[in-house]
Amino acid sequence: MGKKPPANPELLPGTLYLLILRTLRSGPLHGYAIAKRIKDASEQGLDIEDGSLYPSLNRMLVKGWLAAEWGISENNRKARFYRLTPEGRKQLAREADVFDRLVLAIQRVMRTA
Amino acid sequence: MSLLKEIVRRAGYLGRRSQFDRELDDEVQFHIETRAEELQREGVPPAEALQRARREFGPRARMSEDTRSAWQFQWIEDFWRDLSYAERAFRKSPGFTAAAVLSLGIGVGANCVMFSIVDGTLLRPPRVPRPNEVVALVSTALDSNTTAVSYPDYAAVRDRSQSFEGLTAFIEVSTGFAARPGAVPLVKNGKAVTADFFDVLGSRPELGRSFLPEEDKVPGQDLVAVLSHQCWQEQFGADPAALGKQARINGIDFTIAGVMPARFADVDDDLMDDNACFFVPLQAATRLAGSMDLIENRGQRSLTVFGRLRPGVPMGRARAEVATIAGTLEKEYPETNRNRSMIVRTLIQFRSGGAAGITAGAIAMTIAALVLLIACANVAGLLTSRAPARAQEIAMRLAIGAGRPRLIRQLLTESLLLAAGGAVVGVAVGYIPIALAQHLATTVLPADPTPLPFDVDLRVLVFSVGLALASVILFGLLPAFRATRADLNSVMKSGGASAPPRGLLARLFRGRNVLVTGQVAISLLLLTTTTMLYAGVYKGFVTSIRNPGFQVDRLLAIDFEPSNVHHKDARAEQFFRDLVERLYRTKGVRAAAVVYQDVATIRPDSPLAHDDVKTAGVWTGEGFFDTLGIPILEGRGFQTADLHGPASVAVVNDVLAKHYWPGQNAIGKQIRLSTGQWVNVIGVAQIKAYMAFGTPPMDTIFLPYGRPKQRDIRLLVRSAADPRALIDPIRAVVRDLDPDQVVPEAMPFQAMFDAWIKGALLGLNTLGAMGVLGLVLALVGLYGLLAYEVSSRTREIGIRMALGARSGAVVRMVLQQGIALAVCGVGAGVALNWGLVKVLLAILGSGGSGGGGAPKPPEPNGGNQISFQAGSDTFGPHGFTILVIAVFIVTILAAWLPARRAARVDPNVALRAE
Repeated sequence: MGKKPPANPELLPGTLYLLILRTLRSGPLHGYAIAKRIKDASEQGLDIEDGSLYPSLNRMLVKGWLAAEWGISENNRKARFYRLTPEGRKQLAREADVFDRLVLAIQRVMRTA
Repeated sequence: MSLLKEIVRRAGYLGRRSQFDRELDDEVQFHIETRAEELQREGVPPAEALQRARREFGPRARMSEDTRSAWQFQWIEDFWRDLSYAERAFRKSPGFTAAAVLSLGIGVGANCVMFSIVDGTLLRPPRVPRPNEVVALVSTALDSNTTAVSYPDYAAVRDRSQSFEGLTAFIEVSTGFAARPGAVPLVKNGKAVTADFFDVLGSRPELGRSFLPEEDKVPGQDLVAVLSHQCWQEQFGADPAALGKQARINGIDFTIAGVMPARFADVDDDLMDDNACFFVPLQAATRLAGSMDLIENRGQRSLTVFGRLRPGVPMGRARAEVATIAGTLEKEYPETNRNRSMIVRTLIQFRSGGAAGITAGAIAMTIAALVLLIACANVAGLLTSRAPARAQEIAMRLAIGAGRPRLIRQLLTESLLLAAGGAVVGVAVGYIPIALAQHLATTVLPADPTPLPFDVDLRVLVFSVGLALASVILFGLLPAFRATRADLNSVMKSGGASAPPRGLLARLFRGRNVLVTGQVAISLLLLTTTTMLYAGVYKGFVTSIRNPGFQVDRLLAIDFEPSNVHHKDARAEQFFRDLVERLYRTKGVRAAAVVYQDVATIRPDSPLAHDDVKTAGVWTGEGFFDTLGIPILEGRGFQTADLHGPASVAVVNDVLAKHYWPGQNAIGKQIRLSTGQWVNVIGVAQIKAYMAFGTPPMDTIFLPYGRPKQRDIRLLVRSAADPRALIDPIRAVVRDLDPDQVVPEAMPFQAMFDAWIKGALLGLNTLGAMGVLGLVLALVGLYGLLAYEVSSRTREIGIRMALGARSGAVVRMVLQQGIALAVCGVGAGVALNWGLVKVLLAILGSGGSGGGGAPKPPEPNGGNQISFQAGSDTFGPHGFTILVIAVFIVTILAAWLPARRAARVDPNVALRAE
């Protein structure tokens, strides 16, 4: 399966989980809203392929980081809302920490000669 | 823990697949439409907005699959897919599937039957805790077959040995049992046991208590009984208030102290064992028998002894210790213990009766294993023949990226499906003879329903399924491995066919040819073995039952066991005399006699007799020869005068007369009995062997009825009409003579013999079926191989015929291979047989003691004797040659059919089809 040439940098593998967890920190959202918010928050710097969103969401459901239930969206349609579980919050903290340290380490390497 | 939760979450998906798909669709629809609305708000026209939204979303099929796989157990999904694929593939080739499943089923079925018999009678551990600690103590002697132990000997071992945690002795008793004093007594079996019986076996009563040690100390004092669960239900209606009540056993009142649980099964699951209804202390049994012999007489051996080894004590040490004690006893009590020793046996050895039973079991399992081997070769061959066709498919899947492990898993799943089919067919096939046998055992003799100890139970099922699995994996996986290793390029190019090797010899040694050759060879061996056993048992056992030497019709037998004979010694003797006399005066009775058997040690006054010999001894009264219709060749039978006073006359059978006085008249000759008394021969009866089946003619001596020592007494009655009509009149006579004497079940001889014959034939036919089935399987294998060769060489045959070859040449070409296979197979079979049959004859012909040629006649055992012999006289080299020729002919026939098909190949059709 071909990938379209990235206009924006590709996500490091595994960071999609981090982004989704962070996005849901302030409250439950449905799938479309999650994608939109990530795009907006990164000021269009990240363009995730919508097709990879739902597999990741479901994997996080299996792992117990998220819980989902059907509700009514702002445009009066039936939509599935995802929210963080306590285990999800812990996972967010863990992954954010790992990510920060990784970025710091890479930055240090880049700054050396 | 989190893994467990994850598994639980995933499990929630399993039942809701379609709902999940629908919800995902809804969610994606919502996503796309919301984006479309957003675009519309930015001014994009609706149709285009929707299109763009869809495009932005990306490929949905892939996404759906990825999403679903987040929830699935991957291996379950794979397994399910493999299973349905395999099932479809099998359904598309029904011939192959049927052949494979049936072959496997027959092989598994044969093993199912044999294992269920061997397991039920030998292997299955008794339902007691730590069964491998339980052993049996038996006595052995150089000059006798008795293995039971006497009480004083038992007590000596119990007191002097250190190896046993507990040692218990018991004897079965058949008594009149009345649930309440005054009720009509029924004949019930029980066991007289030492006080520690239940402790040694590790079982506690479910109600009340078992015996206290004090209760088994003084003979005849403590009259307590423990009931079996079944008896408690039947006789006392499972009433808990039965405890403390009295039951009358053989006219003596016993107090009921406890009830055993339903699952308590006796350890000696003997084929002849009836389940005990009650247990009484061994010392109390002296009251039942009316004599102290049971406890005091060291020479009377009638107890079975079981013990539990002390933890950590090996069998060898226990054996050595017991042997030492027995040696000491031999010195201390030479009159009773001369040449006697004692030995500790495992339960399997005990149940099998020594080497003979184990050998029989081994032979049975080997026969079944051979059938399975032939069947598996068929399955392997069938799978191999499919291999080239599958090779293309496998090569393609390998080429597009399927991993080898994945493919192997799929082939394994196919094998599993095949094994499952084979197991189901196998258990069904195996169940038939077992069910028939059980039906026979319980219905043919309604007076004595003894269910057989073997059945298709859980152990047998597990064994059968395991065997099917093992067979398929061993014989099916090998072709599978070879298939996955295929060279992709050449396989794809040649369309699946591999190049046939050149030359007849090279062709001969190809894998499948060796397989078929082996099949034919093994089936010949199988056929020889089963035919030999069949002939031996038929000629010996069945024929002698059909010709027992006396008249069987309208004959009734009633067996009195010593423990249920009410009066003892002199009064018993008088009772039976009176009984016979009264019976003669009863309407409908033609003749009657009382008889008991034992081993008689005699010395005939003849130059051919150098020492005391053991013969079959029959003690009886004057009506005996009339009652049974045994012809008297010379002299006369017994008369009333002969029966009073000590024995001074005897009748011998013609075998004995010819043995010791060949060419002379045996009348007037003298024989010395073991009592030292001399008797005159007054008659010669024509009977080869009395109540001994399957044995060669036996020396038999008939003596006047005296006082039997603890032996079964049989009342024989010849009736004028239907013997069953006499049962009630006989009971009336007995009751009249002695109201407290219980009358055991009466058996018409005809029915008994019919049952024995039916049983023997059932066993023989099952055995014979295995031999025939083995051959059939081998033939199917041969036919399959050649048919496959023909169809895979259709192109070549078409070319040959187009070039001018005549059909006869083509047939000859195929037949060549078939004949070569037949010759090799039969040749290998003959070679196999040469060595093995000699071994087999040696084992079967002399009951395990070695020696070839004609079998030794078995020792008389003083009662109904059943022997199975298969000497070289039942199946010699002539029979073998006939068998070889028959197998050869049938094999050629199986080869000829595909050859004919080859001849009918139309070259046009063959060359066009590709």
